[in-house]
Amino acid sequence: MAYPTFASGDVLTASDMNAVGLWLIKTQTIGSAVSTVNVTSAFSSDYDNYLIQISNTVVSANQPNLGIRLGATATSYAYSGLYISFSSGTITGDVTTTATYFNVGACGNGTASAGRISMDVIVKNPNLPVASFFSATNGSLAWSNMYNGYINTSTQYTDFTILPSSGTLTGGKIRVYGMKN
Amino acid sequence: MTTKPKIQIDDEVREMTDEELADLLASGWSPDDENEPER
Repeated sequence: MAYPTFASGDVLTASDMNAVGLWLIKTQTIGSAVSTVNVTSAFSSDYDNYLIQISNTVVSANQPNLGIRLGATATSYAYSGLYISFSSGTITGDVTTTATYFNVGACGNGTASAGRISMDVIVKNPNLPVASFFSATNGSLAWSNMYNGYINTSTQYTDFTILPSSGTLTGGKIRVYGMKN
Repeated sequence: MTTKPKIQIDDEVREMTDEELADLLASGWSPDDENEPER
């Protein structure tokens, strides 16, 4: 079969299905005015690496950072990155090795229009007993953000939490995809 | 009576416990601040 182009009525063989690169593991709708969102049963031994997408959630605060934590670990996240203002063009570097979460970047200004964000985070190794690595891009109407980082623990995580540095999140979806090993 | 921030665990949304709120505040989280300066 000439995948990935399938025709109506084609039989999907194991080899075709096993070649699927991204598998949607879970979709989580974000509630109203929540300060943290914990997504359970996201990581497992099925995949080494994951893509987490958050779309169309709105922050309540004025330009908070958005963070991600693995399990209950709330210390020693390392990240470096930069954020760029769409209004001024200013580029700012940002680096730490002692954060309480992996920083995905800065959000908009806390309104239903400009507070809307869209972000992708690739998480490598969260369920393996080695360091986990993050790569993130986050776009809002105010900022463009690019970050990389790690948490150097051997904990095998199954869940993660999304949280803004201030205020709350309302609406939108979190989608978790496993990347074919 | 002050309302605590809300925590969401999968589809469950509830107020945080005192311990959960203390952990959140310890991580540097703050409530909305309309006077927060522009970056």
